[in-house]
Amino acid sequence: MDSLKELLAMKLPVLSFWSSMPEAASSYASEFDSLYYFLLWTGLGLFLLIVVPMCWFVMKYHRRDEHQKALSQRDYNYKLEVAWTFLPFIYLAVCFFWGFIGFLDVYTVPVNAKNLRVIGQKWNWTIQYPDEEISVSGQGVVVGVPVDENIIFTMSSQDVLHSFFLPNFRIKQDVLPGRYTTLWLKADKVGEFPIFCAEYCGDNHSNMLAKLKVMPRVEYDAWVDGIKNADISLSPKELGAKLYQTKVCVTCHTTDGTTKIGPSFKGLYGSIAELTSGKKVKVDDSFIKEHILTPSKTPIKGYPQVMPPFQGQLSEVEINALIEFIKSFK
Amino acid sequence: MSSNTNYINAKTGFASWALTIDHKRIGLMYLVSIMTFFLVAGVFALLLRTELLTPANTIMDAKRYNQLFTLHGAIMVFLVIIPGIPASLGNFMLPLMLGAKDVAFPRINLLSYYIYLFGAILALSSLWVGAIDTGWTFYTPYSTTTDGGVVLMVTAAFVLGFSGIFTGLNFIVTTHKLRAPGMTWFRMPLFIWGIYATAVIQIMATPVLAITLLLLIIERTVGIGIFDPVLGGDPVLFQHFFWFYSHPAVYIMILPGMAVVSEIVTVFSQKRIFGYKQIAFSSIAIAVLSFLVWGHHMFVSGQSELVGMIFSVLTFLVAIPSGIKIFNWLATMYKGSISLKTPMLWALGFIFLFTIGGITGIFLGTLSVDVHLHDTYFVVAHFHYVMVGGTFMAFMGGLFYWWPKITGKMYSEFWGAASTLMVVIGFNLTFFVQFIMGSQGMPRRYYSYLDQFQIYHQISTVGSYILGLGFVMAIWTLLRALKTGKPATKNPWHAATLEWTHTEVMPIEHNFHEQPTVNEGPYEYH
Repeated sequence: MDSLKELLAMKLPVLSFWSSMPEAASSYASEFDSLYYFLLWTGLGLFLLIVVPMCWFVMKYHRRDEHQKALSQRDYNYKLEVAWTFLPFIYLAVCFFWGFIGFLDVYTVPVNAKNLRVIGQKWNWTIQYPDEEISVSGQGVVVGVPVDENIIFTMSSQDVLHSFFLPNFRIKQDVLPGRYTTLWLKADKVGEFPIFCAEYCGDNHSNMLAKLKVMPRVEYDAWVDGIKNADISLSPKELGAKLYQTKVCVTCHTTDGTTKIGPSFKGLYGSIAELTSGKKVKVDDSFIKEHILTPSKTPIKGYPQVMPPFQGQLSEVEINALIEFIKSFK
Repeated sequence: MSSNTNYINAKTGFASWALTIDHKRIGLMYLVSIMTFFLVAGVFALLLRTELLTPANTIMDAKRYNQLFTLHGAIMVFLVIIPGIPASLGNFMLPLMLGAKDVAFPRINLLSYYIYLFGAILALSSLWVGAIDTGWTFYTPYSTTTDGGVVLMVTAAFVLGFSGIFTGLNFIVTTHKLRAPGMTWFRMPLFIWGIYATAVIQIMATPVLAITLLLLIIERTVGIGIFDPVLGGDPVLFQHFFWFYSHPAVYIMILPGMAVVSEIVTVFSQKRIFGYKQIAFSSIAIAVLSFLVWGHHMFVSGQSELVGMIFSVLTFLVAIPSGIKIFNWLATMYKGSISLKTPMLWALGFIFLFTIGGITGIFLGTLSVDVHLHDTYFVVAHFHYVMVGGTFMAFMGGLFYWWPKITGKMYSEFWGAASTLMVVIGFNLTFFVQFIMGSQGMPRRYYSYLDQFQIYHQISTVGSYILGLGFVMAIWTLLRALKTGKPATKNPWHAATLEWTHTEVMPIEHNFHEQPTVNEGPYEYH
């Protein structure tokens, strides 16, 4: 996590000019910034238009002795009232149309694009690459994409609301359970950019981070190959250790015997677990597999029932790897 | 008749308060309750800010942090700002300003206070079951699946809604039926217009919240699928329902603040309010439009783009009546005789901070800009500029303005001015940097954050301490006046409204010795 934060730090400005936006990584983001700065400067003008007269009047018409009367009791001016009722319309209409045009850009999905699937889950992102037949997952996961290509994210949530937020692209979209939402981008800069979860989703909401790694096409292809080969060459225990991180088992389960939210893996294999029904079961290969896939079927006494089901998310190879990993902590 | 009797010393004993139907005493009981919850939720805010000094665990873990920001928000919104000005100052002043003996339904007024108290107890008892961690917005399906006393807290909000409905109903009927002879609609003080518009929103919008919260309770307890997709519901439906109330609620919070400022600006300029009808009708315009803008909370929620466009247009429209008020206040000050007593300082602080809140609202109403800023600290800052910089500044201004009438004592001008200054400085330190953080992508409701945001968080935290101290100083200044303050005169600010011109130093139990009659506008300074 620390190295992730260091990398991200380079991409967001540190106490630079007070109004500066994070580095723009797409042509849309640059267009967005024109509008943002338009609002900023006209807003500053509007602010001065109100505060300067206010301070001026306070100084000029300050009551100097107790019996000083107002210089005028005039309480109406037709032209002024019309002016400050209708002139703002023009300004606001400009803001509206400019913002609306940008909004259409965000939500008009291009036809020719690479499709990625995004799954939000407490508290990590899974990105599936249908064309490349790979997927990446976990807290702080690296999401590789090729530069200068349209990318569409088709997104859904496994549990509660999340929101997929890429500040460097000025885009964000809520990720919902039971419905698909889409977001697209075309990066024109190579580099690594943060992805935040922007919709509050519980304890580890602020750790539900990822980073978008924008690469030239050749590098991207190599990155995909690297992911494909990585899993095959690992020993079961190594793969288990990797899944322990990426599937965020680490959030609740320790390996050193201390109890976090769930039981520690140390000495777990072969022990006797008591279910909430009072039934006692031996923690063997079958039990671990069943509990990982559908934890609600075998709730264990004394622990909160918060483990998400991994049914359909893990291959047989990966389950075996996790069992071997757990088994290794005697 | 002795001029020494007033609504405080007319009767004594616990029952004379607990069973009172005097709107002034009920207003005071509300005031004490609201201020107590304000201090509690304020301390929560300081704890949150202290936690955010570092991105790691500073003084609490993530779970506790999430519970605390939920409680801070829920208490401040439902127990402090929504009832805030109307239930305390409104209750006290509305009959006095109208020239009435009491509100139209004094017993319902007392009942609404006890409903408020019951709701508050329910809200706090949720702590016992387990503090909730949903955020004050209770978004589903998180709120239907998390642990803790969600049902109790939601029931509390449901119950508190009824308190607001009763108070609103009372104010509407009082305004229609109990105006003094000669007080036409356009001779009413603008405070009444603001409170009246607020009451209209309250009785029309609150039932929607009640229904929504009831549906949420049903889903959590009986498991009928309304919002949770696992049960066949739609989570976005909850957001529509919730904001259909909660956006009008934002105007329930700000309209009374504007109403107070309208009074203070004219009195402390000793000049007729500029554009009386424009200010009055802009309150009504805000009340109507407030029902049509809820979707601007949901530009990135997955609602259709067409709907987003319509809500953006309507949102910009609501900016116009707010602008009208500000410009009219400025025109009122022009060629006035401006006195910088403490209430006026709070009112000027209001204009300063609310303007920033309003302008940043334009950013958020602009569709594409909102996509980037939504759910970041920019929104947090905007909301606080409007609700604290706006409503709460006005609330304090109103307290300092009417304190001599409520308590018969003058406070220290020095400490009053000093506390105003502290609040304005502390407030800007706390929240201005949050605009910067937000524009740079710092999401809200984050327990931890990336290192480059730390300096902003630290500035914000230091600011919050100054802000907290400023509020404590202000409240202390008011309380100290009870003991050591000089006796007030009947009309220390030379105001022209009935609560100053036709009452004793402190009003008697039935407000006026004889029925006042009105034959000119509320702001004629002779």
